[in-house]
Amino acid sequence: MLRIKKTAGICIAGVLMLSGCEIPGKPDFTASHKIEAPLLLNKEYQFLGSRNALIDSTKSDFESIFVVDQDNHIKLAVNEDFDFGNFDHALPLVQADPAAIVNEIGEINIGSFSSGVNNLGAAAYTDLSGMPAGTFLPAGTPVSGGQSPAPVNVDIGANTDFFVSAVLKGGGVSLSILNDSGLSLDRAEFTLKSGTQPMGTENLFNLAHGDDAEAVFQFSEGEVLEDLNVDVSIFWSAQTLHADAGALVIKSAQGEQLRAREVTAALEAQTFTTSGTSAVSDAEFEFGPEAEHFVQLKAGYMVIDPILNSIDLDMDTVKISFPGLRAAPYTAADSLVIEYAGNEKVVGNGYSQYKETDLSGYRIYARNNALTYNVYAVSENTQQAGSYNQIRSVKEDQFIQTSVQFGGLEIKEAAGYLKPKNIVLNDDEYEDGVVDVFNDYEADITELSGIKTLSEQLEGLDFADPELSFHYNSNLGYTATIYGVFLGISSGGREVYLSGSGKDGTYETLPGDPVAGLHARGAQIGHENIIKFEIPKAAAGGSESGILTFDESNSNVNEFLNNLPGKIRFVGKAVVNENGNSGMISDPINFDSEISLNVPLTLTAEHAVFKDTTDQDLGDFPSKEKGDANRITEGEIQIVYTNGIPLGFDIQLSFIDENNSTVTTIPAAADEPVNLRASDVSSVNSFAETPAAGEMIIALNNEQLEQLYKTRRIVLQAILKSGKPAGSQSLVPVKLRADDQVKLGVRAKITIETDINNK
Amino acid sequence: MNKIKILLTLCALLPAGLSFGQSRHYSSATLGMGGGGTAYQDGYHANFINPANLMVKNNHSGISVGLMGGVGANVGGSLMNIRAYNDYLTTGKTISGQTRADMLSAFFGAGIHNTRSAVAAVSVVPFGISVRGASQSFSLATRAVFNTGAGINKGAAELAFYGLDSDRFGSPVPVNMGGNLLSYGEISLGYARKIIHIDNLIFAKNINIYAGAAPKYLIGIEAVDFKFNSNLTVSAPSGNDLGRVVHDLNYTVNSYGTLSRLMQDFSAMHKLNSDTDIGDYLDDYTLSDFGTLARGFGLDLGITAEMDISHLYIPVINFFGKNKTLRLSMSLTDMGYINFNKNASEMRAGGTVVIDGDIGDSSFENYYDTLADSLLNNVYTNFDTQKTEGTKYSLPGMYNFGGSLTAGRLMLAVDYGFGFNRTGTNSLRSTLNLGAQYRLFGFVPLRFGTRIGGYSSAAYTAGIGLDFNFLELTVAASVVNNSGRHGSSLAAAFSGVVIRF
Repeated sequence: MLRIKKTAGICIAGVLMLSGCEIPGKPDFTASHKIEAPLLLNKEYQFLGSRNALIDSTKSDFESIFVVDQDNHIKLAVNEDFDFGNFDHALPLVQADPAAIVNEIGEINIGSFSSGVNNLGAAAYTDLSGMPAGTFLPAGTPVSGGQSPAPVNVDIGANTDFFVSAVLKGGGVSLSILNDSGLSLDRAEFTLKSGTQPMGTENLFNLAHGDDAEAVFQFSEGEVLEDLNVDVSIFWSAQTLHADAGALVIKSAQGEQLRAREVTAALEAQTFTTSGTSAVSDAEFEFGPEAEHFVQLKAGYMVIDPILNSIDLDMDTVKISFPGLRAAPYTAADSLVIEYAGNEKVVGNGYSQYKETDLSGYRIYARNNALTYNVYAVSENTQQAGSYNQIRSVKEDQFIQTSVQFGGLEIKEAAGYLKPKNIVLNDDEYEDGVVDVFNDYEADITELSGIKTLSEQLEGLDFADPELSFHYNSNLGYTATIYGVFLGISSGGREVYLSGSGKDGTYETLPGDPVAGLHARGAQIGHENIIKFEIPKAAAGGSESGILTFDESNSNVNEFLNNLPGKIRFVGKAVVNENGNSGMISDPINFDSEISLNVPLTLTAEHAVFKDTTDQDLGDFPSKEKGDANRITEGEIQIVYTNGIPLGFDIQLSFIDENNSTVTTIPAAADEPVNLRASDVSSVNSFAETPAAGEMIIALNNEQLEQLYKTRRIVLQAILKSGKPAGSQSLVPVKLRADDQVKLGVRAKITIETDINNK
Repeated sequence: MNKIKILLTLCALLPAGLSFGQSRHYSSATLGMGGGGTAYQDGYHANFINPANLMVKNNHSGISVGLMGGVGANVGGSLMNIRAYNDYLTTGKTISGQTRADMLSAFFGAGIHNTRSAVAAVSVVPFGISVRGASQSFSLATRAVFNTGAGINKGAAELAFYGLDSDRFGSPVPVNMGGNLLSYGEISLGYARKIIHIDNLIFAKNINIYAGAAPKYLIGIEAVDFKFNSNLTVSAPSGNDLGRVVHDLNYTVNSYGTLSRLMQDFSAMHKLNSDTDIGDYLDDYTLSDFGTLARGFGLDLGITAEMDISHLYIPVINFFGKNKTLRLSMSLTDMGYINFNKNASEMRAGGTVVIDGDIGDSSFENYYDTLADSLLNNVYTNFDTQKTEGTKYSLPGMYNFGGSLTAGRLMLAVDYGFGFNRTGTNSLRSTLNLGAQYRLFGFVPLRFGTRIGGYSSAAYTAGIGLDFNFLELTVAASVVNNSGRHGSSLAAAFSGVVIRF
């Protein structure tokens, strides 16, 4: 018992001692930290520049849209390619009519009558002198004078193997005579006969022994020549035989320009030609009488049908030439010639192959829209054929024939008289001549990216003296009058038409001008909303550059550009070569154009609004409302500024939640605006003069801070106010310079409370 | 007569010890009884508390073998002010305004330079053996010691609770902090013997005086020292002057071995490329140089006078037993040093950071996106390294005086002590330890105690376990009941498995 008491006493003493020991509790407190820190020390931001400028002109949106003049005055200078649509419809259509070609062989020329061995036949002296046959008279034999008692007939037809018969049209036959009779003849008489029909008589005088002579017989049209034979008679004086008595020899017969209507013979090569024209349509284009006018083809073909040869002669060569179809370099020697020869020759009583020729790159020279062709044909020389095939029967009205057709002709270039043409410059979706400026398929849309960005953020500015220019370069060799609809649309959707109405008339479209079919949302656009301007013709083969400038004197460009059109829609029509003058046109018709906005940043702003929305998810921003341990109970941004920019800003920040509801605004509607005052402006040159200094405080109370976590977007809205000359109350245009500066100092003052294990 | 002089001398030293503190080796027995043990800890643990006690019997067999023969750990320090913590940081208060000022005063006092620290020490005795003879004893014990600490001044705490508040930091405020790590192993060889026997002396009979010494060989494991001193000023805005934040700082880090070399490599590379990341180098630190960084020697000395006072009647005490033994002991522990000198270097950096919004040519976004990296790379990690001779760390040396009175199953003990330095949990503040042990059933020791002074506020301890003549398995713990003045302390100890023969 005593031991138990001792133990209990010890234990009780120990427990009492330890019961007073400290046990650390669970942490449960709220830490409150205040952070005050300068964030920006008098940092100078140039209005325009590269890095650290208020407007970073090197950013892709703004690149190259700002230029600075000698005074550092800034201009918005936007240059964008502008699509005026397509002038290709101005290209004329060209067509050439088919041509039927018939080439008759015509009169037939007869030359050599025999393959000849220099002896078609002979009349012996003894026969000619009436002596008995077989009488031999040696040389030196005295002979008394006398004459043939009767003509001696020499049948030369038996030896004229190249000739059978002919119906003549004219010309003659030359007989080649050799006096080998041994006598010197006072006269020899030759009568050429066709069968029994004498065709003519020729006398040769003083024909000494051994002389050669020609006896030529002329024929009239219609005479028939066949079965040739010659009656020979001689007349001589007393003499001694110069040689043994011989004969008069008819060595050969040769046509002398002997032409026949029809003939059966072995013919030498016959050459015959013909010419003709194919009409080129003049509905859209006329060549006129000028030899230099042409149409150069981008594409096209010519087909020559098979040549039908109705003559019993092969055509060793047929050439069909087109002096008006020329390949580069387009001289006469470059004419198109289609030839059939060699393996392609046109056989007698047969036909040739079909031939197609690609005319791409060819030029058509067709005075008065007539395209000339020539046909040249050369027949075979049957005298050189085998003996079994030498003799042919040919009539002068036999021919070769074919036809020429042209197809798929597309113009690459044309010089001449383009017929006046009214064309739609845009793609015409329904091909009805109507184009709608709000039809995305039809309208040409040009986005001015830099302006678009500005337009998304700015409205209400009033620029002074802006200009809008179109720089164009055209190879259209005809004047064109353009009726264009330029619709500028701001990012806010405001639409302004560029118009020349009510100004000096330079670009004014009048009632009655051919603007029908230029629509907006299905309705005809009024002439007062359509700009008219003329593009001069380019020099032949060259291009024409020019500038169309729209300013306040000739257009409503102020209203158009003050709208900050981020997008310009265009539809238009053009009347090409309205006066029908000669000129030149090429495919493609290049009409490169560039739109230039030249907007000096000389402006007035009284209630202009700059608005910028940025996605900003502040979901992580601490708030008691969502049970965060941390929260900001006080937030204040102090901005100390020195503004050397002639624009002031009343700033409001709106915090927008995911439902597009405003979470809070700074400053609250009832509070004074957060204002950054504009610098004073020089009354002399409108540039910023005396900088304005001041302080802005952007403060959020606890209630606002608790709501900020809902923010998903922040909208910065600043009302711009242009500065005024010192002491002046009137609003004047102010000029912005690139080196206008604003100097900023920023300090943050934030109180953060953090709950540690709060229940 | 000489024996009497020795005793009187020992007694005369007592008052001096009252003004100093302690960093004693904790066994489960000593911790359970307030953390003393100078006059009663026997066995191989005596090597580290009082080697003379190798001769003390304590009803234990003569041979003690410890396998994992003891683990002791304690954390505490002035920064561990549980009272202030509970008063301000557990009651839902918003720490601002006067509340904040009061809280910081509770933790740090009024002075802005006041520094509070937290310390931790762990000692592990993997193996120990002691053999007690009739006139002399031997022991062999190993111990691994890990001491670490960190401290901040009031300015650093103000930065944490005020933020960059110009109202508080309008004029320069020191913001300082520091930390250290010292760890080493010991191989201690103890020897004790009876040096004097006196049969009768005034009130005591059968007096034995034992003396002991335990020289030890020290092996360094790791050591790092970090000191960071700065002044912080947050200037308030005035007119167009938006103010600024100025941090004027310098710091040093002493390191050794592989860690030192990595820091040197980093510094050299950082000079070439300020984007070099220190983390890439620290990732390569693998403790591969464990045990090679330092060598040292230490010595523990002690003397114990053991006497029989059974014939004296002591009220209450006699209730627990008439046989009473009184011991009076004195020891000097952890005398010596360990020299960390392998590849020793000191990193030093300093400069003035001014945040005034001057972003130079940078854009606002880029500047503040990279500010933290810039400060880290260009200021805080932009240090120079310089090779040094190394650092000679004194062991947490202490003077200890203690007495114990055993009456039957009750033992009462009192210890006084003070530290010679502030190594680990050592403190220059004197400490008084009071302890009692009652051996329930003779083998269940119920231990209670208290410690007053030292590195924390007054602590209360308790312990329990099994302590047979042949086997010991006990645990103990210590807590503080009012940490408001000198901080808290939490300690625990486990005897391990001690087998006695």
